[in-house]
Amino acid sequence: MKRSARFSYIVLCILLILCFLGCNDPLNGDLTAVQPRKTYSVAQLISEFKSSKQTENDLVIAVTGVVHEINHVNERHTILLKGNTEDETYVICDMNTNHRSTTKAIKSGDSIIVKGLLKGILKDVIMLNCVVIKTN
Amino acid sequence: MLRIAAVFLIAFLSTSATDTTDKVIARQGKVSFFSRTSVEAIKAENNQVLSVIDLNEGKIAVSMLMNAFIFEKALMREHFNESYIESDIYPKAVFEGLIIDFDRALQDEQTRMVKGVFTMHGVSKPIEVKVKIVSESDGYVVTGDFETLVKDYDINIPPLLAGNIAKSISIDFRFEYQPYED
Repeated sequence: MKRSARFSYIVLCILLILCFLGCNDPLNGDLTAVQPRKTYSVAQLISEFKSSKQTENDLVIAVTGVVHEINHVNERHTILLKGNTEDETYVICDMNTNHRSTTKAIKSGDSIIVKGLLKGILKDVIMLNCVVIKTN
Repeated sequence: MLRIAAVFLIAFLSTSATDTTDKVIARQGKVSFFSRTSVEAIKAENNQVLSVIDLNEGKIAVSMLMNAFIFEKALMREHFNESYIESDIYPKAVFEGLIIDFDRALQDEQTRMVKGVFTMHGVSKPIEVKVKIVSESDGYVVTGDFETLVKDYDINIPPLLAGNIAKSISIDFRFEYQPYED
């Protein structure tokens, strides 16, 4: 009886730890306190993807660029950063919802630095959980 | 007089952009999936799905990053990417197809069948999906849903978690297309 109670207690502890880890993964939430691995300009980031130098995803990076567009498609707060390239390739930053007040002040044409979780590239580079870390 | 004509011309070009362009693009398409069992309900969405439609031929292409799905819990995302979808090996899911009888000139809503091939987890399957296409001033909005079987895409669910994942997954999508020059 004692042994089964101890086993149940251990299983419960493991489940609680897993639940805690599952709900509190820093990469799934606010990245404010996470140090970016590298800082890129929009043009640099796009160029690294296009030349296949950038193959690692799910990294926290910072990107400097000019705001091309701010939209609320799919009820998400999204900022599109543009580079100095001629083709229409952007960095799409899906903004973290905890930082609405900061991102509300930003407008098209502003130069900003955004930190976020790099997911990869389709036509545009995609970053999630983004936070604005500097505006000029 | 010339100035008035120029204003009319600019107004015409800006309101009928989709009449003059051959392609439209959605950079922030939304794809959601739902798995519901008696044990657990799992929902995830991807809001950066890319899609392009060739308006003359009715061809449609969709591409999405599998690691860009947002889950309620990080553990769900981890299982999805590492154990089921293996997004490091198969990073994208793609669809290429044709909108049957698509009429780009129709201003009303049109319901059409889309036939094509959906590739996910390295497996390609022909699918047919009913879509609603709404023409708007600056583009089109395409919405629809369909069901797919997990086993069709060689996704292995460990027996211990079989009760948590539905055998049939519901998929919803919504794309807002704008004129595109490539």
